[in-house]
Amino acid sequence: MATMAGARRSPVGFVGSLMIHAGIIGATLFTFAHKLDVTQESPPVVPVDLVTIADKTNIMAAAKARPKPEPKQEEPTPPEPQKTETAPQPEPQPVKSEIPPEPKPVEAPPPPPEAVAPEPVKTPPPPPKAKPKPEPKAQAEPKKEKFDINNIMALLDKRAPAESSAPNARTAEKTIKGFGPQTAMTMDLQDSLRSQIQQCWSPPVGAPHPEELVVEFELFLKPDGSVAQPPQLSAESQAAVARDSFTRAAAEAARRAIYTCAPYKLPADRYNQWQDITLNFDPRQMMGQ
Amino acid sequence: MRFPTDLKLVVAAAIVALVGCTTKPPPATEAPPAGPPPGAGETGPVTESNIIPGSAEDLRVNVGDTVHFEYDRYQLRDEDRNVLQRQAGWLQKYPQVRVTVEGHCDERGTREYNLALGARRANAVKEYLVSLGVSSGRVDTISYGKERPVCTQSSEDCWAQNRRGVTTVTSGAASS
Amino acid sequence: MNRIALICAALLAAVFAYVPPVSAALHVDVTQGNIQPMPIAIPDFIGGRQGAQIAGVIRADLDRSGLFRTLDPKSFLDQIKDINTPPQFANWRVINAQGLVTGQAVAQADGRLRADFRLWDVYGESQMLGLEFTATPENWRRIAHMISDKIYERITGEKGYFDTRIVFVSETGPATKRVKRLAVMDEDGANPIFLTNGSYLVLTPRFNPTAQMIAYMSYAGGRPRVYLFDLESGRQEMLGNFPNMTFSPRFSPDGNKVVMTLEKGGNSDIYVMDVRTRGVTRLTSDPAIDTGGSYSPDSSQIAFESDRGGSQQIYVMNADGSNAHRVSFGGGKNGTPVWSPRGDMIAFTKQASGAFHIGVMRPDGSRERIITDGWEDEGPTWAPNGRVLMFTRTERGGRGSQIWSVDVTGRNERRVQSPGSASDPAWSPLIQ
Repeated sequence: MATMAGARRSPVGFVGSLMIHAGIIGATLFTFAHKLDVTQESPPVVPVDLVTIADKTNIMAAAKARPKPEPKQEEPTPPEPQKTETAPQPEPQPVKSEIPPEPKPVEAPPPPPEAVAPEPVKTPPPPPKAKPKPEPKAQAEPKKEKFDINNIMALLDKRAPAESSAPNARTAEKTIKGFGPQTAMTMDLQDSLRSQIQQCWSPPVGAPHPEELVVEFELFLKPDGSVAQPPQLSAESQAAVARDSFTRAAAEAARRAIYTCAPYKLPADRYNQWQDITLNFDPRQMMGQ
Repeated sequence: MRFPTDLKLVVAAAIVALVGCTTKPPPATEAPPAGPPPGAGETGPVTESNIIPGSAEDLRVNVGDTVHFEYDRYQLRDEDRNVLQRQAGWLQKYPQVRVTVEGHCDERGTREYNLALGARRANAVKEYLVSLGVSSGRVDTISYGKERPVCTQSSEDCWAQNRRGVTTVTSGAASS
Repeated sequence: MNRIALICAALLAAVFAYVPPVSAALHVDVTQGNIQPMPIAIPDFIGGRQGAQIAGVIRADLDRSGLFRTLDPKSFLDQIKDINTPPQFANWRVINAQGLVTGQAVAQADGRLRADFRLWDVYGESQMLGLEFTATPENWRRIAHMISDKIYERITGEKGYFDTRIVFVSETGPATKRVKRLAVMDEDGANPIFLTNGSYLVLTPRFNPTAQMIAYMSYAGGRPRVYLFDLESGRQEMLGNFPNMTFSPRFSPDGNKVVMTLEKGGNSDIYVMDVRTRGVTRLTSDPAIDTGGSYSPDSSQIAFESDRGGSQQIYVMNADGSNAHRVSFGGGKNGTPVWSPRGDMIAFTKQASGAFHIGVMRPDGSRERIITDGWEDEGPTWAPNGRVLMFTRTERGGRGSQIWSVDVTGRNERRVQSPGSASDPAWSPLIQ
């Protein structure tokens, strides 16, 4: 790629030095010109990035007619994921207007050239986590670390993970009276929600570093159990998603699970207990970690 | 590689002479067609009369060209030493003959490992022949790994036949 | 005593830390999932037959990966008429599509083929990706594969592997006289090309990192040696000039070296040859069989197999040959180690209880997992993303071999299309 880019910059020298590549250069210039065309032609359609495939593939069959000395790769445009992201976001809005995809304000403005999913989820800039939730957070942590004796909360919580990691958790037969406000009173809700959402959750288990696949969402449900607003990644997960394409894939898989399993069947009379949910998706057990 | 016409005639005659018995003359570097089962009839005296002494056929039929190995081993078995002793004697009788020892394996090994194992087997045969006085320059080796079985079933019996060292004539044999 | 005190303290702390009972979020840990391919709708691209063909190849690619399930076009409620208009997401949700790909193929004035596509998040109602490709029309399959790669990458977070090739050995004839020819084909089995004519045996081909060069073993002239095949020129040359058999070649990650095995006096040892200078360095000196060298992606180490401990096992040594140590302890015989391009695993062949299986383990030998269960599965090769493996599967009784693929998790085992019987696959890197 680098050499090609160089070739484009100084085609004359290149041709001079390497006759064989004359064809490449020609094609390169040609495609380059055309690329400009395209961008001008279709102003409204920003979202596509241009990638040109080498005209030839490198196979030369001994037994077969030799393919013409085709240029190898005349149009570089490296298909870099980073770049490709820049364009997409603004697109949907301008064209149509009849589509009513909920309030999705983030999409329209000049897109942040970010690696974050251009999804309904707000792109990184809006971290409006105004919620006062240092508390559930604190609980979430120790739950993962089973042996953190230093953390008092962990002691408190030990029971919960033991229960919750039962693979086929249906609704718990009975709830055990506990101390923490959330453990006893809501354990059945947790189990129920967990068993519902597990059916829909298909995390990317082939990823090399399972710990990068842990993501946390905050979810608001309507009284009928449907999703009230696009689920929000925790600030920590958002940062991780921006860093790592596997984490992004994991976050998207989790979000698809949230949507596909909705509406959730939960006791309506306890709506106040489940209208606001933090979901911690952790596939490490599934991956034998 | 240009042969005088009369030599070609001799060759042709030899081939005609052979037609009666086992059909085709073995190609120089190819493994011979599935021979007699191991142990049995390696010195089949039956067709002796038709075979030209000092020929590849002579080695294969009258002397015995094949030895066998245990699974994943390359040590010679005692009963096979007799075969190799006859080979050594035959080679001393026909000093112009050069041979290649092929090492073969059964299918129960990975491809590259079997190439290495086949090389060990071929070399074991060669070393024994050399120890019996055959000049090492007359004996080449080649490994075919598991690429050239003589028996294709996946059975203990077949595997035993395929684990083998085969001495083939490279050059200098009578009329072939 | 202390413990009780601690718990009391904890309780207290909890009570105080705990603030409003109603508005606190319910916390749920989800640790078990249901691994399912993602349902995705890929209507034929706009653009007539070409558009339909491209979409067909993309559907086949994604289905083959096992990570996607492309939905039957007959179930679609909408027809894509203009890819610049956002789709009616609700109509795709109804058929349970989680992703949607729309695209078009256009023959340009200059005769080149242009294809653009968009990947939509059906639930998020947003575009995840939009790209445009141009190429000569003959390369339409490559366009389709590249689109598949982009979709795969966007959804899974890792690079795709559809725009790749497989070099392999095509097999014909009876087992006793099998004819083996060097051949290459696309990853999906399309465009097979034979590189040798079958008059001599060829074995164990492997690509260099640019996919331009193949190192393989050939019996040409009755001398089994390692050769290089230059795909661009069609030229073959023996690699080095050694008196005895050379085999088991594999390129270093930078392509400048070939690690291979030299046999001498029946003993096999591993050497590395500089492809340019042809300088040779010996790496092992053991009376045992040492073969099957495979570099780690960072070039610092080489995995290989040896029977120095009594049976065929996998070892790892530094790239200079020092510090060789056994890593396979999972039972049986273990060989053909191949380092994952991701570096996190070594794939290998395990021979145990009368059969051969493909396995993977960490480079230190831990976390061994057997991922196939055939009669004779051997010789794994990694997809460039380190996620999928191909291997040779041989049936009992000399009935020939086929190439199979399997996900590194052991899921999604399937036969790879090839012309006739085939063995010894080696995956190319992503085509440049």
